[in-house]
Amino acid sequence: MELASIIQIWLAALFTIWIYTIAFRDDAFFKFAEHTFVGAAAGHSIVYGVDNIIRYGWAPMTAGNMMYAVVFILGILLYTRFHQTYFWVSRVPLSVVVGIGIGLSMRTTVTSEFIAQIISTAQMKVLGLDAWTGFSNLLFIIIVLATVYFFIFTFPKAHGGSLGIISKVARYGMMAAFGYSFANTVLSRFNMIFGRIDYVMNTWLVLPYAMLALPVILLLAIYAMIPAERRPWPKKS
Amino acid sequence: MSIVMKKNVPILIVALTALLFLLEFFVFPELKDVITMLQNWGIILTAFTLGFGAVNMFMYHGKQVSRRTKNQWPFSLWLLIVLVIFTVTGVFMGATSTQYSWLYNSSYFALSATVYSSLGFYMTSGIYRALRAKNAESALLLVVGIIVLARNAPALAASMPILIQLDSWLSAVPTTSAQRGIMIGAALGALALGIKTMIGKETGFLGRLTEGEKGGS
Repeated sequence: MELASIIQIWLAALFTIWIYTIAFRDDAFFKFAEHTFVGAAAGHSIVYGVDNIIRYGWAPMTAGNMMYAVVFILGILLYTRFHQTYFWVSRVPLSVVVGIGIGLSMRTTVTSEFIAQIISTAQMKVLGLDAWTGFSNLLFIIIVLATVYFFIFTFPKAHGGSLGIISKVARYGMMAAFGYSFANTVLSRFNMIFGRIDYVMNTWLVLPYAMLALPVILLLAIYAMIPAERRPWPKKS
Repeated sequence: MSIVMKKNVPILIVALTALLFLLEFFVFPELKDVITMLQNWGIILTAFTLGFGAVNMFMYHGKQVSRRTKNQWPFSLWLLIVLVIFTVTGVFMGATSTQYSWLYNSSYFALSATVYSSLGFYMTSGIYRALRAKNAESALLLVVGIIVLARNAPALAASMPILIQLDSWLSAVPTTSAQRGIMIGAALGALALGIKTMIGKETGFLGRLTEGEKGGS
């Protein structure tokens, strides 16, 4: 195996172990890994940001489309936000971003999240099916309607008295959905934990000296978890 | 500068831009080229805003380093070094270069997978707190959660096949229907927010407003 690959595996395994030390206590190794992650994440997003600027802005502009020069000026104007007096100038490019966001979200919201959902609910059959499917479809429609009612009619009277049954049905439906989603999220996180443990055990520990290094790394991590004033060594003079 | 320039012009730009997108989608498909260009503008401006994060990070962590904040400044310095290494390598050598891929795989890839997975520890303690049958609603959360967890344990699912059917029904009926209801409710909320922003009733995106701007039309 190449030396670069070996170093890469060692680094990835060390970062994995150091991040997991937070499960026990905050320590210097975790902070080191955490700051590496934040720096790397910021750097990575900048790299892709610059790539996007070159691909979608610089390339068409140098090809002769001068409309893209305007967006570069707007982009630079964004940074007036740091100026005490002229911070308001940054609102102009920001308005373009907000306008694009609203325009895109409103049109997709209307079609995919609103009309399409209503159509597929309205097309559900209740009669002419076997009893269980009919019941399931009826329950489906009732929960959809109750949940929509729950979110649209938010004034207190709409959730009290005889109308309270509707919001109760909505709450039951939503709690079942949250329970399902929560359990699935827990499972996916544990799946990721198993993935990392598998990497450490089957990719890193099989390398030469890794098995010897593991106890040293763990001992150092335990030492780092001890508060500075209670460490046996080095003694404070 | 007048309130018109500081507040009304940005609101007008928002309204016109959003309206252009809606018109192209519902009425004038021939505006497609303009919309494509505006979408590219959005990508470019979003990329420019990423610089804010970097500037803020340099301001905050630079301050920690210059003040030699106890137990923090070496980490802040390291963070800035990592940020510069990533940026310089990625920008000058390319995001698909061998050097950048090596950096990415040895740190960011491993760290992001580990950080996201470490949320599993917090979720385990979250389960202990959330899955308690205090009333009918939380009992339902508990029962559904346990069924899903049990169904994904191969030994339990193999010995009790009904768990598989229950899980499928829970996914297809209560979960999908409640999520659909939430989606329709959220869509209505998004539409309302969009219209409010377009007519200037929602000005959160403008950032801090002066007293004159708050009162001005």
